[in-house]
Amino acid sequence: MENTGFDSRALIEEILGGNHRAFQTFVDRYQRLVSHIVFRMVSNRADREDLCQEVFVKVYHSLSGFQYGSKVSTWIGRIAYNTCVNHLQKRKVPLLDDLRPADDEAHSALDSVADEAVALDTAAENRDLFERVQAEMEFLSPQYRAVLTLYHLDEMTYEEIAEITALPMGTVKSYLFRARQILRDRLRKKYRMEDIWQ
Amino acid sequence: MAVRHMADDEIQAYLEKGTSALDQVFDAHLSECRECRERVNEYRRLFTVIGEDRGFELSPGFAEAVTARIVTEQAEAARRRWTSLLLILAGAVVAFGAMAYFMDLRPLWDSLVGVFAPSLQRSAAALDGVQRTVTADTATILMILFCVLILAAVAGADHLLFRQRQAKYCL
Repeated sequence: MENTGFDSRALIEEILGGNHRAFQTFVDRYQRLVSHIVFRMVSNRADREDLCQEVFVKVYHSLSGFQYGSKVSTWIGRIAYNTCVNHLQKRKVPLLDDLRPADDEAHSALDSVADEAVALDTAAENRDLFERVQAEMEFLSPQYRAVLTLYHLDEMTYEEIAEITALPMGTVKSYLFRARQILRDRLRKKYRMEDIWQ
Repeated sequence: MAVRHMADDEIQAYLEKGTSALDQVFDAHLSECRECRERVNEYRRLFTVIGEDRGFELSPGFAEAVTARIVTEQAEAARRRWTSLLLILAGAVVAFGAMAYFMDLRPLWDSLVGVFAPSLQRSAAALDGVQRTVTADTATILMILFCVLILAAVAGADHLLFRQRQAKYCL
């Protein structure tokens, strides 16, 4: 990721000096993190890229107030997470609707969000485990998905995830364990063991 | 004695290296218990798959698009500021006109003309080489022309500084 030769502080100072090229470098550097959070938390594909842009616009306008009290990635992660939370709240999507394997047919507020995943699920039989896990992940609440993503994809620590999500560390840990357990249970219930774990 | 299998949270903690104090105990148990070994492998595979970085691609040129959006927003904000300023000036002119209509501002006007008249007189003389007496009416017309010039300069600056800059980044 550090492909420009700039360290983050120098890059931020360049941006604050009005260098738009430096900001493009900054976006290139952190767009992976932002897309992980936004794509996992927001199921509506049409909204995702626009939200990623919105996150970086907010980052740009807040950059002068960044005090280096935390890592830049944690700070950007928090902005991305809060942007997604606001977006989901506006659309009345519950942030923590703890769907269990037995709740498949329940009338959850997340049903509409998960419809696409169900359709995909019945259409393709030869998908690999990655695609199956992606489809099942759509049934998890946005907060569970965010925590899973930050831990496994962005390799953040419990402390960093707690800082991003403003959740207590114990809650982060329990969400993480619970999300994995739900995923595993859903996969076991839906597929034959030899189909998914081999 | 019944065998105690590993609980789900114990398996997950076991796979998160360095977070379980019981790793050695679990290692010993797993070497003997096939059921727990299979469950550990399931979770291990799940961990790997969740960590796969696929399906998060943004459009090519995303960074440029974000920068263009910011520049556009900044240009619009600046133009809004200029518009507000011009509206304030227009409001001030209207207010002054209304005040002039209802109040006797002759003494104030005379003192203003007294300030501007000598320089206007000199300018007029320089232009046509003819020494003329600048009347209050001529001074009024020149002052209006002066205001029009200022407004034209402001509009020109707005166009040059903001609209062209915005167009450059949008290309």
